[in-house]
Amino acid sequence: MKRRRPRLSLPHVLLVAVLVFFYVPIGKVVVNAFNADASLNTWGGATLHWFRAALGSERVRDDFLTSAAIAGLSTVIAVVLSITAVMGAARLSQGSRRRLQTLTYARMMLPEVVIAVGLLLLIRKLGLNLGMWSVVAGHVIFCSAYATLVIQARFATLKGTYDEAAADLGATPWRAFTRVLLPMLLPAVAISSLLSFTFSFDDVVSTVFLAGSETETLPILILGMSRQGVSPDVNAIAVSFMAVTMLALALFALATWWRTRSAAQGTARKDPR
Amino acid sequence: MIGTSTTARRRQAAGAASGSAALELDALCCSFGQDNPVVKSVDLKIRGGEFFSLLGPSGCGKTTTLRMIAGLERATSGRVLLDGVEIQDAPAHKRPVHTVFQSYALFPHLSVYDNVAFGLKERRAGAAEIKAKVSSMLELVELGGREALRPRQLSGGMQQRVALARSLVLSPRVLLLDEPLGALDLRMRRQMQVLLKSVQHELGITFVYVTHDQEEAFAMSDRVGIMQHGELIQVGGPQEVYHEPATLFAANFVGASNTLAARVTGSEGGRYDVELPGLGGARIAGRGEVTDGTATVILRPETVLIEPSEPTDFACEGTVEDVSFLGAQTSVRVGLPDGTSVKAETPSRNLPASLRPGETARLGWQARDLWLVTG
Repeated sequence: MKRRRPRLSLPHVLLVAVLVFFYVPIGKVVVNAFNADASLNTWGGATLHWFRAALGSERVRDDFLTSAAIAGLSTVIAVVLSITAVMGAARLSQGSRRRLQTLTYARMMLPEVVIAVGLLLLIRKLGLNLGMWSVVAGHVIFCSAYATLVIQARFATLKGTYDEAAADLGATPWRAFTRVLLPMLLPAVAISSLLSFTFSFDDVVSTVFLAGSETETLPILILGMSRQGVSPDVNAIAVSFMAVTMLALALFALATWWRTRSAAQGTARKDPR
Repeated sequence: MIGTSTTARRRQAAGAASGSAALELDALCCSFGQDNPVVKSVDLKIRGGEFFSLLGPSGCGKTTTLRMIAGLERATSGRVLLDGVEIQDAPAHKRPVHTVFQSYALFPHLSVYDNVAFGLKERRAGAAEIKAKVSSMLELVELGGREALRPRQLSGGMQQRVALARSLVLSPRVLLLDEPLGALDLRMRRQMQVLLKSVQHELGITFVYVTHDQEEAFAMSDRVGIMQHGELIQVGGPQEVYHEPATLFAANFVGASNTLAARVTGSEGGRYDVELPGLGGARIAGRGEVTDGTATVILRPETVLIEPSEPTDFACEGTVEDVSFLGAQTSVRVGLPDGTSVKAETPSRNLPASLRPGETARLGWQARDLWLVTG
């Protein structure tokens, strides 16, 4: 058998170059977060000093909590809205449903700046004050679009089968929803919650426009700090920030793995008769 | 499979099964959209406690008819009556009829026990009552001891029985079954047919069974209704439908048949004087209005005799084109001199050894085995 020699071809070079381009910046942030050399030009040994400094700052802690609160609120509102939108759309005619879906796509496709500026102008017009609530409103607009699509896809596989079976067995539409459809939608609800949370948590564009002067989120803080040159504690904040997002993803991956494992166990059984 | 000793338990399991109802469909119609009629004015009376099958090819409207009875599809017009009471406007969850779906539609997030208990909980039955009914129903469908499993942990046949139990435990006035055995292998189907028939017999519940499998329908049903293009073209007992089909379509759908073109010279009270070109004439039974002097004559393959030892009303000779051994039966196709083929089916042990493709064979049949159709 012929052994394959590693070859240096253009696609290989390109692949490596692109990967470097993608991931080296992230790697640099992570490394520098632990770099004891304050100038960040050379490796001055490992330290947790920047983390202590960053997480010890009250401003950072406050902004982290603000970000988490906004992301949490936006997620809950977006997911509840999406579930009701999907259930409601099921009662519409096919044409209306398609038009509604186009509107949903529009919320994802339109530049976020446009939506944010539009909302800002509306809020000004109404004479309302900006604050946490307006940031949540802005985030719900795009988070709910993603959540609707995820939940819609799952719901399409249930509609016309399980709701009918429940109705046939005597369940009112509401009972069919709470006892059958909602439990079966839970995986989709979990996925869309995670998406919403991460999208909201690290959003900058809408937040810049809608936060006003009183409200500050972590991404806005990082943005402000890096404008005055990258100080080492920005790296530490960014890495902590990344850790939260990764934790959410890890939880999700774990849940998915657990689900597929239990399903695989189930189908492996055979009728003993 | 099921002993009579279980009868008492079954009656108890079905609870109010004595209330099984007669079902009447009155000019029932359903259209999907403006000019897409799926069911065109179906009139049907099903007796209480009857096992009735709706038989037809896919797309004939049989499932839509069933769904209108269940309340899952809105009738465009017409009435559905349960013991004389109109139910066509009631929503599905208020109708005392329950369905066994083709896909079973078991709730995957609930255990076998909770699936069967689902409807009872909707009725707010007491905990003790639910436990007793679910347990005895699971015994009835031979799933005792599997209460805690999820549907996906069961084989297809077992899932089928959970679906049956889930509906039966509610003591439906009418049980609707939408091709419930379609996904099972042949051996399992046979077992389930026996189970279904005995359950129906002992509980006395009215069954409306939708299928495209005529053997299945014949084996279980008291009466069958044959549907085509959204219309009910014949209703009758299995024997009647088989031996006296209303139309050519019905004849072909319920079993293989030879069709012979015939000239009709006269008719009188359901008897027709026919002339089969090249074969002779006879007075035969049939159904329908002959308008242009021609009709089709049905000849079931099992009534065609090969090398008959006794004289027959019709006799002919032809070349054997094909011999297919089917097990108990052997199917023989013989080409007649005028180009038509006649299929004969005969018990394999009676088959003359000389019968091979290319050989000449004599065929014969009696006039009483012929049946005339016009449609």
